[in-house]
Amino acid sequence: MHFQGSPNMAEKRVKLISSDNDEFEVDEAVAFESETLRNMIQDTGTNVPISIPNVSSDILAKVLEYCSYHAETMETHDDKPPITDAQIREWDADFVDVHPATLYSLILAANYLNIKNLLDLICQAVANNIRGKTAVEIRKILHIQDDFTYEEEMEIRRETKWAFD
Amino acid sequence: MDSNRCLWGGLPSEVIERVLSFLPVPDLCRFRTVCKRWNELLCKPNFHDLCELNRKNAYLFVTCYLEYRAFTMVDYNFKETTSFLDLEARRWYLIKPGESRATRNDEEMIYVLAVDDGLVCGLAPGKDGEDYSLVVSDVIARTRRELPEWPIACDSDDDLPIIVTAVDVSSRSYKVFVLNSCELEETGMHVYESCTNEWRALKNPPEALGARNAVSAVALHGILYAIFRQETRGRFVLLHYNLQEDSWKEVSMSIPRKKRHPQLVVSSNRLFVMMWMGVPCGSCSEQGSQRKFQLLFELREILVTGSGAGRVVARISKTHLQEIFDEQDKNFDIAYAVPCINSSGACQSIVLMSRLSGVLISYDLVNRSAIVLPAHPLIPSSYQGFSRNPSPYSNPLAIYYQGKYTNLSLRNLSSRFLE
Repeated sequence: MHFQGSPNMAEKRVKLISSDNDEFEVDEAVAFESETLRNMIQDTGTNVPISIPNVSSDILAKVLEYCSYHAETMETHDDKPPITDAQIREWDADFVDVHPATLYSLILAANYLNIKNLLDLICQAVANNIRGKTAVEIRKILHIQDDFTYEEEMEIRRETKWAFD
Repeated sequence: MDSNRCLWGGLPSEVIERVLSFLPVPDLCRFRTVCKRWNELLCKPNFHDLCELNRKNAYLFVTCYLEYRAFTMVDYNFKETTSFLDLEARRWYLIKPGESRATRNDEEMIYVLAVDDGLVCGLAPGKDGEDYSLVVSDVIARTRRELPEWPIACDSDDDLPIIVTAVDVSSRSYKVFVLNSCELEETGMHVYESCTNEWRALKNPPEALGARNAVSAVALHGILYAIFRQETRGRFVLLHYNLQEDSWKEVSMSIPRKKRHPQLVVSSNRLFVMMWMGVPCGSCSEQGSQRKFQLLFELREILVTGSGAGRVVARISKTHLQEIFDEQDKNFDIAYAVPCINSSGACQSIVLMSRLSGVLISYDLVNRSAIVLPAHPLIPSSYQGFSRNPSPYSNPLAIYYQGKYTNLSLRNLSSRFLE
């Protein structure tokens, strides 16, 4: 399986192997969006395929879609107008408009691959999903066990009572 | 759903922290009760550092004043309750007396004079219940300090000097600047510093630059910016003050002379000035006839790092504003304007507050369209409605609203249940 990043064949290509053993091939510039991959490539070069044991094919494809778009926005072409900030924001907003389960897998991947902008983008999207909710709603949405006693919870509530009204 | 559970539970703490750091401070106060892990995480100083980096949320504190023939006072409800709007979540929060250690007892009234980074500087009755003293409190951290007796005498709410608090974000130490706003008196200036717990008069008053009384002031990056009425030219002058050098410098920007005072506002660490200006009407420029002027509300950014020149952010005619607010009163005025800066640093909308009704509107500068924000829970729905409170005084001649804009800070949040 080949991932079509940028058509520029003059650059070095990098082979990546997902947890379910699919092979992806991208430009070095695309892989360099990830700090983790950058370090690995600088250590071992581009000849050896890099295996990413904890990221599945569908998630890795999404991550590489993000990386190649953002690598592309950094390039300047004489024949094409530059991509505006507003266009990038719109693209990013579409990118994170996915099922919560996918978002959480993307967070783990972005965290492991150390792609700061992607991690911030997803964290912000998750934050938007839980903003303005009550503690009870948060526990329900994120399946978190309430481990406070009634008294303990009341004590915290008393400290900033206004935030709970 | 089970996969969700596994995934969320499997997220490392640093990722959960990163998600939470994008949330507004009131949400975070509430989310401390989600579970012990979250409470622990939300009280950690390095989480507060991360919040400092990622927070974009801002809060508008609102006060209502009642104007009588001889004096002005703060509406009883607004003295009793500190209220602010989370501009991003568009939700009001009311802090009632006795709800936080910030107030000494249930009867105590404190009202907001200045805010910076979650520190509220207000006036509270002294121990004998008569003289007012300045109090600085942090609504989140629930700390409160009554400042030593302050150097300027004032009898009623309306000859209060201009007060500015400037908080050092990392150390949480702060300064309180007091500038004379009374036209008849000399431009004295005093500063309180929390590390010494003392007031001191500043030796180098801005009179040398022709300044008289201050009309508006803000702090940005530890520097005080203030607009003064100018003695000679009858205009306004914008000065900035460097505390270390104790020196004033003029910022080269002309502010037109108008009855209504220009105001400074800081948003996303950038300095703005809002003001009214008269411009000749296009259709009335024929020769011979009297030139008519149209009133424009202008929001201008002051480029503090560069030349100090202004850059116009928005210009809206008074007629258009009155249509948006649906207020035909001839005294219509904008009490406060907040430029909303997006992630790429552009200002696409501004939040405007009517001085007479306290109504808040978010105005989109691109589409020139307006959205009415939720009404303040304490303001009567009709803007002519006078205070419904048990006031010892008869109906006031006028009611007006004033806003103060700030960030909130989670620092100093108490950390109970931490093992």
